[in-house]
Amino acid sequence: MKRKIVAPMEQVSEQEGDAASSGGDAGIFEITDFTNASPWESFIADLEGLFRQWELARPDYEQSLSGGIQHRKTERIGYSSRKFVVTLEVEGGQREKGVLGNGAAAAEWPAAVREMMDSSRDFPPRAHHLARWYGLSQFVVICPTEGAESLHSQAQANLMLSSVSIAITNTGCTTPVFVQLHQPWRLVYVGMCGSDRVRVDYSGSVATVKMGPVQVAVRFLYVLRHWSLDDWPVEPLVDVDRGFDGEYLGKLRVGAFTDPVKELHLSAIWPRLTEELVTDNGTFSDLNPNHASVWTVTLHLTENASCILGVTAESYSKPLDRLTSPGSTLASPLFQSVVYTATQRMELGRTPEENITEKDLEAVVKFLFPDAYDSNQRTPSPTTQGDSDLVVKLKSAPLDSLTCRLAKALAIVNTECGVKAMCKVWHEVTLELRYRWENAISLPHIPEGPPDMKCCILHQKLQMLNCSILHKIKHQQAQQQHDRQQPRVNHVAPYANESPSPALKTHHGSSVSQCMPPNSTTTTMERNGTSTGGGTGREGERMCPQSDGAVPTRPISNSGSGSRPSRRDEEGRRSSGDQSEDEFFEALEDHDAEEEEDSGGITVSSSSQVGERGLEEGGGEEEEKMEGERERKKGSGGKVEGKKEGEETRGKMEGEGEGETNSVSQQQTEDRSDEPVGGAVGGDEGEGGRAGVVGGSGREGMGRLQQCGDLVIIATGEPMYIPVTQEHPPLTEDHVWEQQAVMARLGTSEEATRLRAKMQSSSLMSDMQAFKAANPGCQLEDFVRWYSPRDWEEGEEGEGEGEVEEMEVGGEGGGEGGPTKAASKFDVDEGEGEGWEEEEGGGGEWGVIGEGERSGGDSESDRNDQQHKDSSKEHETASHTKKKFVSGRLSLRMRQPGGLWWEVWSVAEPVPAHRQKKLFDDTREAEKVLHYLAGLKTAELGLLVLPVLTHCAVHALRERHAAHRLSSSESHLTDAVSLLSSIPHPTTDSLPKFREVISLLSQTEHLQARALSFMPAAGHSLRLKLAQGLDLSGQHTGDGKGRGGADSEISAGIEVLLQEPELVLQDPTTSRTGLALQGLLAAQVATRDLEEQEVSMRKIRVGAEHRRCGKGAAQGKPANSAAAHREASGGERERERKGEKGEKKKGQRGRDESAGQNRATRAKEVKWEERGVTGEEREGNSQEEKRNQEDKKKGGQEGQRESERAQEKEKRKKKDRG
Amino acid sequence: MENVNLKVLIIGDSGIGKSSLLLRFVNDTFDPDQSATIGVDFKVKTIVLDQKRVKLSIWDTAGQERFRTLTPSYYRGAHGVILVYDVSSRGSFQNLETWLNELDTYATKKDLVKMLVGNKIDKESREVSRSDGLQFARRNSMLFIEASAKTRDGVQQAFQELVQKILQTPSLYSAEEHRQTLDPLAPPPSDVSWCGGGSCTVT
Repeated sequence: MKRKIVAPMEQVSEQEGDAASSGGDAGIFEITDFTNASPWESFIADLEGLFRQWELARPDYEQSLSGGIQHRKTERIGYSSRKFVVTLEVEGGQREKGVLGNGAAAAEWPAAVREMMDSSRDFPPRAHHLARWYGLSQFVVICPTEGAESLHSQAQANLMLSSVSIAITNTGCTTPVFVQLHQPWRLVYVGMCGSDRVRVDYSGSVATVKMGPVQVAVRFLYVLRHWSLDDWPVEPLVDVDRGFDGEYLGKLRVGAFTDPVKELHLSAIWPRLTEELVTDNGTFSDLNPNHASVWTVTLHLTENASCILGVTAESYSKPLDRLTSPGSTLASPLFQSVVYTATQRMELGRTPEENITEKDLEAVVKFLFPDAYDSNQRTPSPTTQGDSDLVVKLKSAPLDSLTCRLAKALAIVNTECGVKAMCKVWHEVTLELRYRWENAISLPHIPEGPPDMKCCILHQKLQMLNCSILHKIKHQQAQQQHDRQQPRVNHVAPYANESPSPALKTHHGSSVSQCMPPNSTTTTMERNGTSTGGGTGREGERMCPQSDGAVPTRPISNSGSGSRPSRRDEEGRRSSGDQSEDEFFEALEDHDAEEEEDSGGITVSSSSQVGERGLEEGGGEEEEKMEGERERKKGSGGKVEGKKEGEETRGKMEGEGEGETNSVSQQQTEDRSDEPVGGAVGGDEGEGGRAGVVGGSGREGMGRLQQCGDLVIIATGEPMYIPVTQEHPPLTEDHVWEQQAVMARLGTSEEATRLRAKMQSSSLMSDMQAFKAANPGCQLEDFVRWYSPRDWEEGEEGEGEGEVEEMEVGGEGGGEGGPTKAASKFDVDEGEGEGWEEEEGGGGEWGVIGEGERSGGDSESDRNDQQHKDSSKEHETASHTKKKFVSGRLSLRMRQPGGLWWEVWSVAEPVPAHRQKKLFDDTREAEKVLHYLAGLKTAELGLLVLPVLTHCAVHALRERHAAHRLSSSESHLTDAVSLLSSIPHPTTDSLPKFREVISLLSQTEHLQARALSFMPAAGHSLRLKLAQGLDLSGQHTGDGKGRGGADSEISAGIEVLLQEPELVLQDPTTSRTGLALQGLLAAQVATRDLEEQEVSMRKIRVGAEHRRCGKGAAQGKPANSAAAHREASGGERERERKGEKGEKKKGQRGRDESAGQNRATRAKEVKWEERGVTGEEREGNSQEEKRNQEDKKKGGQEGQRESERAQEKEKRKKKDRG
Repeated sequence: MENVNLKVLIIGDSGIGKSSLLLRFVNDTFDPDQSATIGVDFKVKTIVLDQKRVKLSIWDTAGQERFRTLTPSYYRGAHGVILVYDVSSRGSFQNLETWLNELDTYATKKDLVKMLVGNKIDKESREVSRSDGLQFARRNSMLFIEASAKTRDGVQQAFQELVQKILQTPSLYSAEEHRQTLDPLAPPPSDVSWCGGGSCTVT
């Protein structure tokens, strides 16, 4: 920071031309070295800088003052290591001109002095206390920064004052400057104001010099807050008898539930009284408020009206505090929270319940799991609504998701019934979750799909559980179906070979003719009989007549079901051979298929499941077919494009055509016999046909999803199929982190890299297995072309492709029937594979393939082997011809022997996805989640739910905001959201932030409440109160005559009260409002008297003191809420007319001479600022002040001794207070 | 000297030289037959920048389509991303959009720094011009550089620029953000430097 430093001893540097008292020798250039400036000098320089910056020295500033708007400016400056805040306070309001009388004389006085004498500034409605004490409109306050040590000693004060004095002189500032001493709450200030001629010292002491007649202005403040209408009518709140139900739990309550009107401050003012004419002391007073000439009324609204949402959120976050207190176990400190919630409950007006009732508990569970009670009620999974951004920002959960409901329910239960009840609910919830897992019932209101990491961990966990449950459901369904079909398949399979279907044939024929050039069709037909497999079985399956009718064309992309036939078929086959095998179905494919069903308008019900399966399959097949057609189209197009491609396509076509015709003839009989049976037939038919084909040709790939473009397998020349693959298991965020940590922990060495790759190769392995299964006779080259196309380098066209092939593809076993070779290789690799697996198992969770699966694989590959042998002849020829069409080689990195890709490939056996070990172990995952949820401690649960709850709260407030088009509350909400989004995880560390958020939300709610119902409600409340006051004063007109007018007057008064800082009644005794207030006042006084008596009885010890303080007495009473206070008789101000007499004018505006009165005044002021100090403290305050005065009399002592004494005083005072 | 831990991610199509870039940056070597990455790999490099010792945890991902379901979980908490394409492959450039979408979907830090690197500029058969890359980077407010892992052109600069930018982004790098959490849900503390809870660790 660039400092403008002026060495004070040399007066003012000439460079600072704006200084008031610039010297004469301005022309001399001199180097000004500020490097040695002492802290004091720089402090003064800083002060001066501020004064200049604020233009306090401007000669015409006084003109600008009148009618100024209340504002303040703040800067920080330092005095060596201490920091001070310098504040310029500008109070609003008009100033009467020329109070000090006439012309030239008045101009002599600084504005501050004139303001002091200005009676119009006597009682500003809401102002800084200095403004109220001294009637100032503009002043500067210097106080230590918050939390810093305050100025205690007189020496310090003097030092500050002299700095100020120099700064004032240097800058010509005429604004009073105050320095705050002692603790801020004591409101002790010393200050000064200077001009060329006059200097005014403001000291904290009272020193009155009486000179001639003195006029006083008196103001008594009466706080009206004893309302007999204690039940405040608000929006319907918690209905105690109602109990919980869905509607109640589903919505966070928003709104205020206390009377918005806290108190009315009635001031009785006598602006000008001659002192001699009034008597006012402890026993007698002339000053009856009812006879005051002016009344002003200010409305004090409840500052922190407890709003329901705030209370809910707060009481929710409360138990979390326990986490932060060190050493607390989570079970023990129930006491605190029980106490807390009890008080909360009282506030809510709910009778304390020890625990949640069975009925309520049931209601909560019903709210969370509606389908548990009403099985027909299918709940749609929640859609992320418009505020999805909020979900992401807050890391919450979609609204109306189970998670959100849970959060709301827990919060409400906690607020109303306490933490114990909340725990009980949670326990119930975990039980329900477990029940659902065990009985395979999916969770309501949880979006399907893998855990969404944008949501909170709780939501992710629930999603994970749901994934597991859905997985289980599918598995079970598959099982059932399997059981049902088993005999049938066994029965059908033998006949399958001889059962071609005419329907199928026609259908296929037509489709072919539709989309293929005629010559192609003929080609297909001609080739009849030389089956090469390919999509053969499929073709048969596709032709289910029912399916054609029921299922319209579908997009190809949604092709999960395409795999089903083969799986089913597989199942059938296996079940006949190997009954013990039981895990066949892979969840995700089934899942896809089911979705498809839904989209097709077919509903699942267990009774007709088999039939539907058939239909569904049909759908899949249909799709398959469409695809095939498209493929063909492409093929024919390709013909035009290029020779090579065309040939390739033709080769493929041939294969297919052969397959088709073959299967057609095989299936005919079966189809005929089965057709009448109905829906169920479709599936079986397909399977039968398929099984037959497989048995016949042995070239059948398994677990195919769709054809992979127009790629063909290098070795066999058959079209390449993309296998059905297992999806990667879903992960919740914490597992992701875990995994990452594990990976990172391995380090960065070569070995680590390799290990990591191995760890992650489970999915690669799975994919390779599936690929091998789908494409018998395939090579790594084939796999790479599908999996990582960029690792395949296309060969140059026309080059000796055969050779390339031989080199690359046949590397394993020459030209002699690649497939057979491969098949036998699988057998050899068996043991090797297992060994590798074990090694993996040691590595952690990463190993995939279990032994159980392996045995299945065994038989599978055996079979394959067999099949291969059966048909090897045909293939040899086929592959021979097709080899030519694939040219190219693996990229350099893939070619490297010993690479992990090769390694995995070599151990991967052809196992279709559904028979592989599941990458997703639903049982384990579900158990993990359930264990996690059940093991949550109360506070942990609280933390987890907190973001969701705040999200709900923000949403509720936003809704309300939008519904009522409020303008005021948005900023707080935005703040809250941005604050929330800065919290990465809900941890104990982030609790303060959450608390801040909650307070922001409470504020918003409060603002909303104000804007919505508060002001009207306050008006309403006021009306009631004033009406009551009228009744009390016995002035109610009764006959209704003139009532309308009176009411309109009162309404106007209310309007002013709500809008303006204060309502001024010039005719307190005659106006209706005045009468109403009189009534209220009378009631207050009566109550006060009563209570004062009680207080004095109770507090005999301090009684005397209090009495001396007069009307402030009741303040010391702790439970003063209902008490009426004629707070202070202070405010009498004695205007000192003798200002003219001397330049040094001692003192502020005079106050009453009696110390007691003075004290009371101060008490009043303190009250005004709502400092919340007790009577005793104030006592201490004034005593302290007295001592100060004494100190002052003694004069300037050394700083150190002074401060020591100050500390001593502190101690003494503490003792006194204690 | 201040220690800073940053997490950086490398993404892009398969076979465009992501791992090679990383290897060049970390070990200053080039291996033409480096095996194709499976899943993700991980390297650490410490560099000194702006009086800070920056420990970069660089996660190298596999570009293959099938791995794309595996890798997004590593996007979480990344401070910076290097999006690579191969200047000799138009396809890899055209896929950038997909990668960006992926990034927007899975990355957790809103302001994470994105850098576009056109790799393999040593190759003669250039299919993507420099201006194409520049344009794309500008459109998506990314840093852009062309590099070659083989000839080491631009590699160091790319990483340094990225780190510099991260350090200049207050929402990514702020000393206050660091606080060790004792939360059951927070990632477990480990000896190795991975960015705890997606925040910078400043010690």
